[in-house]
Amino acid sequence: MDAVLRAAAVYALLLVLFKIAGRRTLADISNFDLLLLLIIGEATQQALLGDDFSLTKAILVIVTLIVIDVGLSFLKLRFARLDTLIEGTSTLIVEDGRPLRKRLREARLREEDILLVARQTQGLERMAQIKYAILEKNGKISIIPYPSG
Amino acid sequence: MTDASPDARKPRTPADAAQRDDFAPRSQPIADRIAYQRKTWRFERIGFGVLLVLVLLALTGLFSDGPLSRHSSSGPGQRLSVEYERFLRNGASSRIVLTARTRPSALATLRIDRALLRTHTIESLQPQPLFARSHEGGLELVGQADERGRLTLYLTIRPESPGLVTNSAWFEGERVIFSQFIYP
Repeated sequence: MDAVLRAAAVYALLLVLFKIAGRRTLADISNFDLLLLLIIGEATQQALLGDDFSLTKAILVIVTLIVIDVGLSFLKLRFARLDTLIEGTSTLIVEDGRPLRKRLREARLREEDILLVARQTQGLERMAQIKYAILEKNGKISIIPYPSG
Repeated sequence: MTDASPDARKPRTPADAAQRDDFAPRSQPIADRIAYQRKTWRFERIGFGVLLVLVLLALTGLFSDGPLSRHSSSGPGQRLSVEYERFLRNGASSRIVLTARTRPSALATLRIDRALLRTHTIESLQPQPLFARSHEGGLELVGQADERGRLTLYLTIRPESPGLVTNSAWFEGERVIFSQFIYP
């Protein structure tokens, strides 16, 4: 019983915490973010297993986590509102070459972040070359350039 | 190949005027739900505030190990005092110090009630008592006081079940009640 409860509690806690942290936190993993994730994983592992290092407990914890995860994905398919709640929505952040600054501020993004992605993915140089930029559900930024030609 | 970017500004249509507001909903190229998204962003900000408060509370010792948590209780006659942590975490070791004041070198009998033994594992007890026995499900310990009439017992305990537990310790009819909250 303990294993299932621990796994469920940790799952719910992490879901809320990463919701608070925002989706950008996990999207672009820098070296430091990777380190941070490892530490979070280490701290979580203690809470999940306690002082019981048996194989049975490990299996129970893993099975519970997978059941919750898959179950939640079924629920998300069934209930669109739940999906929006957990996954969030995609948001337009650049429109016709004009960054929507108020949105950027609330999303804790800078124009440089958009330009960085524009350079990396599309080879664009200026904001004016971007028709649309969208902050996706998964925290990544999509750039749609003006069609050339 | 011409770059059709708006470096050559194209005239804005009247519909664009409404779109100048950053928080107006858009339908192109995706139908975004900016009102909902703003709620999410607000949740992130409030959530951050809550987390910050949690960290500050943790520093004060609300989750064990800190000024709020460390506490000392004494009986009415000051003959028995107990130092303990008010907040404990399940499975994390902690210490209780019992100090009895009596006549120099006298034998002192201390009692600990069953609640403490039921919710905690006693990992160590120092110094070893001269005599120990069970007493109403609790523990009765006999030790010898030092030349100044003090007997101090150090207990290392490890909580086994979460929740509020009210412990008692007795010495010569004086009772000290100390409550501990064990976080899961």
